[in-house]
Amino acid sequence: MKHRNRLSLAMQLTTVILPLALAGLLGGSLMWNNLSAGAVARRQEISDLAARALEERLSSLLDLSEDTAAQVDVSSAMKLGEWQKALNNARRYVAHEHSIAIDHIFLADSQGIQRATDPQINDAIGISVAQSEWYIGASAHEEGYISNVNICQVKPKHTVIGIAIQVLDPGTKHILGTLLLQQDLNALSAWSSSLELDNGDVFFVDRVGNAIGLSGTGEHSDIVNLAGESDVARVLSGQRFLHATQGSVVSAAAPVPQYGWGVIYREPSTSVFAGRNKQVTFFTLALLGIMLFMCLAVYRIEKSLCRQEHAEDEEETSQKFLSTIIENIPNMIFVKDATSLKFVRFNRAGEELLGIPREELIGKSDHDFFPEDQAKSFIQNDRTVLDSGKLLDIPEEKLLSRNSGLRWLHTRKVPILDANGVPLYLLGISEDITKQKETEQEKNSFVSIASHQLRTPLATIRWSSELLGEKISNFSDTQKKMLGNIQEAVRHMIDTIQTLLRASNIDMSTLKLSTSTVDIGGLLDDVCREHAAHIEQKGLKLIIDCPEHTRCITDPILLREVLAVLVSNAAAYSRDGGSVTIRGRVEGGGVYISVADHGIGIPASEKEKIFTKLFRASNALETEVNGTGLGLFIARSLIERLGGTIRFDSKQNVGTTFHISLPLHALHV
Amino acid sequence: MKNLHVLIVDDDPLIASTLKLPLEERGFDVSILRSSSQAESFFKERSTDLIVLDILLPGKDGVEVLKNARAQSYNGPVIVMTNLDHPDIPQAFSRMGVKDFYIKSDTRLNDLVQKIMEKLHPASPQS
Repeated sequence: MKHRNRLSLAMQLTTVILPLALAGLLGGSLMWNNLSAGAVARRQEISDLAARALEERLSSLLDLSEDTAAQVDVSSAMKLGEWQKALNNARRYVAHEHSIAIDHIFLADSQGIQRATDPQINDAIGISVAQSEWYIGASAHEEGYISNVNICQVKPKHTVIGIAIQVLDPGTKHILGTLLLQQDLNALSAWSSSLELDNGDVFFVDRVGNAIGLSGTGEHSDIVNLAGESDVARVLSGQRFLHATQGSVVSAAAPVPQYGWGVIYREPSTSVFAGRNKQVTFFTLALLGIMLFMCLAVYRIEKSLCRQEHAEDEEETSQKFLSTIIENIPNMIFVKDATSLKFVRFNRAGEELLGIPREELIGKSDHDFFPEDQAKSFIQNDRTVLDSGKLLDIPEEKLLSRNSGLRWLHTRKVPILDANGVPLYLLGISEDITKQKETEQEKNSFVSIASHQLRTPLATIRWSSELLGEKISNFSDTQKKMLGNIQEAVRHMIDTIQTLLRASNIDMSTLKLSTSTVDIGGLLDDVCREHAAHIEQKGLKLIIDCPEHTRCITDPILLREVLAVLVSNAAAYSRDGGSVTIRGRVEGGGVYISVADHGIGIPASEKEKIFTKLFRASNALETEVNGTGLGLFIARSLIERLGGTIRFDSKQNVGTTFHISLPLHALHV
Repeated sequence: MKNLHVLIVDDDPLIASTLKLPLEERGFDVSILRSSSQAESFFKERSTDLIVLDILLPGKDGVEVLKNARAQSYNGPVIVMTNLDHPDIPQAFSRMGVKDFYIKSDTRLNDLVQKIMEKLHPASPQS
């Protein structure tokens, strides 16, 4: 069973977890790709953005230089050789353009001799700049020329770019000189702080591969030439590209082809994919968590199912166990529905006893199988049990079996109640006591016949010895004594037989009451008179305490027998010279009689058995050899038959008192 | 004057003859019959003044013997004397008017004889 559960657990886990894992893998891989693409695409965007910004700035600078060179007050001053004035005029114009910060302005004549600088640098005037890159560039271009990145020696030392343009005579178009505007690269890169670069590094490269780092806000004072690096070379050749697999660095490049410049964005791939990795890790963990949760849930469900199954198994086992017991118990067991009193269950012993298969019995009632009087009695008992909600013990009831004729049963009926105490079923358990009863009847009739047969010769002996006694005057003393022995032995034997017969009659339940008004005092006197010889012989003091008119309606013969037993016992078990007290009175709606002695008493350990048939107390056996063990059994049976009770108080070696309570009318109980 | 006659119907000769002794001593004529058939024959020919009747007899029981006697117009006293101790027995006889019922072994012979004399001489019972 457990094996099956494990298998089923495994199957369930497979059916639930496997698709989830596959979906997770698929989703994860898609996510990986999307996130990877997204991450690198964002870097490309950054480089594109930076390239556009660079292009705009450079264009603005070019426009500014052209516009400045076109100023008449600049060119006319140059024409007149008033270099400082021309420079001042240029400065004034440039200052108009607040958006573009120009740090230095240089002015050279058409021969390449530097004529004026702003701010003024005295040792820079008069030197030739004809070989400088910007001068040559400006000479080669009609429009302005953007120089490579340079280091400006004017303190503080910083990186700059220059925009150089030839200034022409507006009329003749002759070259008057060359104007150079220098801008601090810090200004060019200032905008870059708005970029969210994370751990990346974005920089411009000029046409010769000088790199201007834009990341961070520090001053750029050194020029690094990266022309030898492949991504720089590629972007300067005009390629826009993305190196996502280049070692551990992601590199995104965008060219600014108009000016031969480029933008490179570099970031360690761990940083680029950190977000992706973080998200994927989160996703994986979440997926694992869900899978773990699912596993746990499935396990818990399985476990609970398993437990339920286990409980069902146990229930099934216990049902089977119970069924086996019920089926194999030798007593008839049946269950009836509490409402319809129809049979709902029967065991094998029941089928055998009734001689009817259970298929025939189930759904039927007593009336379908048994004679009218029996069925009525059964159903009446059922109703009593269901109405009272209590067990009913029926010591004997008759049942006509299909196979084996009349059977005697000892039946117990019990109601089976629901939680609210409402009867659902009636359970009956019947023991077939027919054999027992037959044996008992045989035994009783044996005792009855034997007693009868014994009595006849005893009567002859008794009567003959009595006749002999009438002639006693002719006898010697020895003869008289012998005759006395015969008479006593015969009387004892007759008493014993009478006791046996009485006990047998009680068993046969053939005891019938014949009631009349009985004077208790008179009855006590009679009984004591019968035992006078015995009492006298032991030297006992007899006290009879019974008020006149103590009467009740009862069976005098039976009551006399009971009193005879008690008085005889009191005499037999008293010590010589003791006293026997007999009391009688009307008390508490009945008659109370007590017989007290100061004899050997009843051992405490044997008190419970004292009314049992054939039982004799151990100390009684030692004291009095003669005794049937039937006296107190008969006494109690008869008192109960008279509707009364008998009990006793006793202390060993102190004495015993028997108490009898009788109703005032034996038949009204 | 002719002696009074007592008929004892009992199959046990010992007990019957034991009872017969004191009765004869007191001057009664006593006959003993041992079966129901003997009793039937007896009542065909003659009658008696008192019957001492056992219950268990060869052939028919005491009740039947009494019925037969009644049928033969015997209306005298009847004393039932048995060793059969069963509560139904007194009832069967009391229905036929018999009130005197003795268990042989439990009864003193003298008490029984006294009862017989009482029945035969109701006015002057002798002790």
